[in-house]
Amino acid sequence: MTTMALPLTAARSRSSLSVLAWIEAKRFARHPMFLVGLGLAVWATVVIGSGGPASRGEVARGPENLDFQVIPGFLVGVFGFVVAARLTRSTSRSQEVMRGAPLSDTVRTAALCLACLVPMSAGLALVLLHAAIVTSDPPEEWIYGTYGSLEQVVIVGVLPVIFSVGGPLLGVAVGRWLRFPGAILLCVGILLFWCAWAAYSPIESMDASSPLSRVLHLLTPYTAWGQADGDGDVPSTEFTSFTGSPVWFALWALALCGLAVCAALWRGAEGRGRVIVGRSFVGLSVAALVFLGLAAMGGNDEPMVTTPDGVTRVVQSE
Amino acid sequence: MDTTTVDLRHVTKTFRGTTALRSINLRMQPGVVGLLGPNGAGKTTLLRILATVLAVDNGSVRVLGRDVTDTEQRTDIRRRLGYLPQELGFPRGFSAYAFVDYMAVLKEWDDAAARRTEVRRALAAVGLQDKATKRIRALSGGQRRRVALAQALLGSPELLVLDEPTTGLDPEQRVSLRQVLAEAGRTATVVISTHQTDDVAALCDRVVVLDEGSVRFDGRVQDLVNEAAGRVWLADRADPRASASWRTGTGRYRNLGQTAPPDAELVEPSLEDAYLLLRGASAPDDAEVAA
Repeated sequence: MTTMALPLTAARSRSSLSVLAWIEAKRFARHPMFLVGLGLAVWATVVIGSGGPASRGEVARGPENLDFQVIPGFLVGVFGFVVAARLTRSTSRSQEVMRGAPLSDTVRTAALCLACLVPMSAGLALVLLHAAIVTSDPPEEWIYGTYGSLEQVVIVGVLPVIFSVGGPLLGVAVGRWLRFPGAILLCVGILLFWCAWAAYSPIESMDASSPLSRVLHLLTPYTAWGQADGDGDVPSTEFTSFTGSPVWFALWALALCGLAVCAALWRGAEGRGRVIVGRSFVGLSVAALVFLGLAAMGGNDEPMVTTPDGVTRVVQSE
Repeated sequence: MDTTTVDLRHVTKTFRGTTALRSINLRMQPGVVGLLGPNGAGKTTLLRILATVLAVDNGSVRVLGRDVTDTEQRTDIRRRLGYLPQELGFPRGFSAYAFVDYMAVLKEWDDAAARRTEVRRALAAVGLQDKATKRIRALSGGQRRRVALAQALLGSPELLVLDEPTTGLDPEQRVSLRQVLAEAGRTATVVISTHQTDDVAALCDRVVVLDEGSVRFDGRVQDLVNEAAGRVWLADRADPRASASWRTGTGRYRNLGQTAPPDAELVEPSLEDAYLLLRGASAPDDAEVAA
């Protein structure tokens, strides 16, 4: 060891948050689980964007194309959820010494939230990749069902980005609040079950036009907006557009992202910061409920089926 | 000029009905202060309070002239504080450099070049410059302890709070660490909790003995040693009347007590003898005596 003799003073500035966020962003980007999720998402984007296995035959590009908004964003979001939660909890073993540092828990949490720009950027890159694929070989118009131009842009271009960042933000909140062993795994299980059930079941198994069905369909952050009837061997011959408004749903999902940030920041916040976070949480909760209501009331009143010849009809409830 | 860096008045802390600290009054100035006491004496609780990570139930705490209950003042204290907890876990996957660098960011070292220099200096101060890129998981226990110590040394803090810093260090490392801390103690207040009385004897200007949450002794190391003068004996057998007695490497028994055993030789007391006599230890286990 050498003798310590440098009376240095820590250079203080307000840029600590950005420095810490940059470090966390690098940790996020290098995390093996994020890279696996991103790899799967790229694969899904290429396969689905290229038409998918069901497009073989006379239909050039199948309506599975629209499912793009769910699958790649879901992969980045769910893998990102795990990564964010693990990164958040990774420093818990050093909590004692970190609490003695001038940067507060709130700043550290904010840095982790900012690091979620990494999966968000990944989501954006996937959208651009998808755009490049469909631009080089445009799909037929009918695959977008009853959705208009704005709704198409939201479903294909905006929601994947929100999905990609939403999961990781929720992961930060979970990492901050749930410390018991297996908490992350349990949350992933609940998330997968809820998404798998709520995205499609309300449409398929109950009166699709009922208020309960419409709200349930929108309650999952990774909901689907359409369903094709094809499978790996048979090309799709119709596409079902679901109820609700994708545009208002995007705002609802954004509000959920904000709520996740507030929930994460609330833990350990002190003084004025705690008041600001608390008020933001209340404000965003109100906004989220309003957006959810508008998403449920807007858009299609009932699921609509569109066929390659452009004919659209209401789905008959069983 | 008032050079007080730590001012504790009537500090009390209770955990679920167990009183860890009872109305402690302490003032500290720059220099090295050793905290001695058995397990459960309240040492770690006291250090955590000084490090601003634990709030008191009663009493007032001022550190570096600031009130720890005020959020902004507490942050200012933390800017000038180095803290080594008793047990420190490390984030998975971090190298020694990455961890100390991370801590430097938390201590507001925002400028990348200055931070790099400071992190390297802190790692060099604990002799880990050659292990900087190694994963912490791959380091030995003593090396991990030094990584933890390196983060506490960042920025040459005005107050260093170290809970058992020499645990896991080999003798050479302990001597080197003493040099580092002695140098720091020339301008800063260094508070060390330890069970190693020889570290305290070699390093500290002042010693505070805690027992059951109360201060049993507070003064110069030599003053505590002097209290044991005339009460430490070397004899051929253990004295049943002694407060503590153990066989030494020479085959003779070291007896601590008021009365001389038969054929005993009076010897110079050590700090350990004085500490044990102060506690009135009756059993080596209780007194943490290494026979």
